Amino acid sequence: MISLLNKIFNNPFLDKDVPLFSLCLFRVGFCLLLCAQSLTWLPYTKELFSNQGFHQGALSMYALSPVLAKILCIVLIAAAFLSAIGFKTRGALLATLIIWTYFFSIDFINEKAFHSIAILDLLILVFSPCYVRFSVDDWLNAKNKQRDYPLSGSIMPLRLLQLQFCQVYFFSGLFKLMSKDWVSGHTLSQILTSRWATDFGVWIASWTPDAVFYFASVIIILYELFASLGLFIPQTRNYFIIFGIIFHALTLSALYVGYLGLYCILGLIVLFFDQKRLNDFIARAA
Amino acid sequence: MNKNIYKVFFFIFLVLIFSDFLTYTLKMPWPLSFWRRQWFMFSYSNDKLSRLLVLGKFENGKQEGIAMERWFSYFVGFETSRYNEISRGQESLGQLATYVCRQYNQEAGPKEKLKSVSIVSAVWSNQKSGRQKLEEVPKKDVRLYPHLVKSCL
Repeated sequence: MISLLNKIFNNPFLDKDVPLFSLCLFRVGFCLLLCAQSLTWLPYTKELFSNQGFHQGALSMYALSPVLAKILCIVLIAAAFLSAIGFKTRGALLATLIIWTYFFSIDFINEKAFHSIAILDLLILVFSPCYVRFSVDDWLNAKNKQRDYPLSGSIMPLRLLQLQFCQVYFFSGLFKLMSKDWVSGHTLSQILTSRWATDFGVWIASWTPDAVFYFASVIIILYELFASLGLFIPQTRNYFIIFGIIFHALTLSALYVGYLGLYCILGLIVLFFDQKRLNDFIARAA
Repeated sequence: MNKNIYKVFFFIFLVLIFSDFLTYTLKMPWPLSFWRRQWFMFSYSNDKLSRLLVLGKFENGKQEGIAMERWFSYFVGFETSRYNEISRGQESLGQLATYVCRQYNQEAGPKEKLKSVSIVSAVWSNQKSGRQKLEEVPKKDVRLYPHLVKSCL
């Protein structure tokens, strides 16, 4: 077992140094999303996180008073923002992680996939050198001539983020594949008139023929199943990224998916886009 | 940062993903699964819309529906709020009834206290041509399913 793990970890796929542009850029975008999500919670902290709200969660008995819940939400917004701009990055990320996890544990009602994904991503970012670029910390260090850290590092945190991203696709696809109603397009057509659909989604459903739902369902399932592979193959990567962006943009406009759609678009662009081309592009822009 | 930390992460990820795979393929309840909602992302739907109705019986004998919007204003979806997203199991609905009793009686005057609450599901069909709010649906097309009655005393 140990030797197998050693073999896995010593594979160049996991064991090499790369520039940290993508990781740092992901930190910026991801933390801005967390900041935006927390801002939407702010007017509703009494309902969502205080002891005056209705909760079903592992820590719901530890909900704070409405005033403290509001203050904690403001701290979360500030911490996520500081993580995004990279000021005292590791501390800010840690504060974001702790408060986000606490809020998550208070209430599972209306829980979204993004809520638990965020916890793991934050955990990976806390332990990664994601502050070495696009951060106030780096700018201050450069200004004070204290930039004594490498601008490249292990590819492992990036791979972990990619792995987390891909397994969400894969298992969603697998689940849909095993559902007869999903494969026939029936579920998709119903989703677009369900409580999760936007008015735009309902409008699409009102004139779309059943055959289109069938083909769309098959394409979605195939994409979700094979994205985990296709995103890592240089020849197919860009097609999967482009299709994924279109898919998530449509989902965002037709369904109330919260920040998951934006997270997926961010992940596809920043985590999977050809690293060399991304680095060249950023270097040129800088 | 020490690479060993990433290795530990990676190992944990592999275990979690493997457990997810087993959970799904062998249909076994597996406690390690972390991404609790990922398979449920629009994995099912039906052609019905449903809303919980909470009816209160007061100490003065009056009976009327309780406006849940006063405690649940966070937007969730069409014709639904957080209270409507809970399981229809007795335990879950019992918790909601207890909450309504507590909150209502905290805010109510001495003679306006709730004596009991009953929870009912209103279910109506979803049309492909467009959704209807509960208030817009003819009464004959709404089916009511009583769930529980709970004393507030």
